[in-house]
Amino acid sequence: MPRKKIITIILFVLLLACSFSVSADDSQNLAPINKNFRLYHLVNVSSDYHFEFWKPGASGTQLQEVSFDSAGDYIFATLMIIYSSRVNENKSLSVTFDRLEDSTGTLFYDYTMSVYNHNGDSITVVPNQTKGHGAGSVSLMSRLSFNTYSTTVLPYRDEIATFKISLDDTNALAGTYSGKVTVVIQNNN
Amino acid sequence: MKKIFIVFIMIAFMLPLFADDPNMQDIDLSSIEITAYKTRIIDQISPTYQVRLLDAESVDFSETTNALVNIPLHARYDSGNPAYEAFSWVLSGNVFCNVSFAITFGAMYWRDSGGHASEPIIPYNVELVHSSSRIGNTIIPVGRPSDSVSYVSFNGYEFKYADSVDLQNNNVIVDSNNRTRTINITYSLQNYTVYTPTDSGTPTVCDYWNRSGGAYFILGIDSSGNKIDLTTGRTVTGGTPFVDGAYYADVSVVISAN
Repeated sequence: MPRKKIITIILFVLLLACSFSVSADDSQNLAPINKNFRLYHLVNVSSDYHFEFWKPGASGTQLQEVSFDSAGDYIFATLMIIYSSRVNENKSLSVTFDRLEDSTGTLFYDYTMSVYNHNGDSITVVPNQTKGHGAGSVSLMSRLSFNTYSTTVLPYRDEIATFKISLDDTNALAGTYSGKVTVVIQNNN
Repeated sequence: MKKIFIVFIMIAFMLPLFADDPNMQDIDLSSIEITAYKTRIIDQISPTYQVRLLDAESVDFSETTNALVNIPLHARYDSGNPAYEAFSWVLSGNVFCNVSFAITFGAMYWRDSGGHASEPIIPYNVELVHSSSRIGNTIIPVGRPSDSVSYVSFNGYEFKYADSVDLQNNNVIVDSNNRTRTINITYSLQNYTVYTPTDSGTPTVCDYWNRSGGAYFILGIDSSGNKIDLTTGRTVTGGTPFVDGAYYADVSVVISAN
């Protein structure tokens, strides 16, 4: 065989071998995946907690009652949870709204309540429900879970939701109307 | 002449290296790169398969550094309490492959304010349960080829699939005597060609498989704080009482595919 041909064949084989070795690197990457995490459980750590309504934008100012002199939209309260060390319970949290009614319970001031949920920035608008005139309820959390744990810095607090009421006086006679907003905690068990 | 040949051979060796040098950059201002994903695989991990770990609220904590998964009060031993699903997994990928999945559970130590682990140890029982195997949105059966489902047509062939899940010794107790326990799961995807101009065997692409399951826990401590023997369900008398505070168990997950 002529020398030129032999050399050409060698070159061709070498080129082929190189291209194979390169393409082999493009094969599937099946490297193992490693993940690490920790489980934890708390023993006899206080789980005391309570809720407070605060005036929006005024940190630490609790609201016991709020009044409105005319129809309109009012962002009137922020619901806070105050907890000593941890809350991690199989409970759900909802808020119910009574009707705004007069002292006889026969006249009503219609309203719509909007809830700005801080746990995900979603907005829930509560329509008139079974009791009518704005009364209803909204579920804020399906499971309480404030996992911060510390023995040195207490208490903790978190915003849960902000409430806006839209008062509609179209069907309301002159008078005084009152109602309550109530936080309800329920066991999921 | 010989020198010329040597130079040729060296060039032949060098050409592919130049072609694949990642540092070489082509600059083309008029071009635009378009990337389309049907199901995107996270870049940081293998492009062929991935794992997602989800907590009890179905929140993905796979990429969370120093992730903590809570085992709540109702995971404590009580005759009325079912085992608590603390986390679940979803293994997924786009390429036909078998997957080995191992989870190692460490002892649940009390830790002091400095984070140092020490006794006492809360015993716990953990059970891994396979929940489903899917390709796309189709649940594929586990085990019997006769139950396999037709799923995908690929290059003129239609494939049936089933999954094999080898999950032995899936229920272990981690305690003072067994401070590390590992549970292994092996998934073996099986295909059965039903339309065969010629039997093609295993398809390369398997779009989009996933296998999921959950980890269920019962803690060896009752609601009053007494230690429970998880093998008998009885209260353990004596021994070191549980100290107030946080107890932690390290968990390591390793997944490999072939």
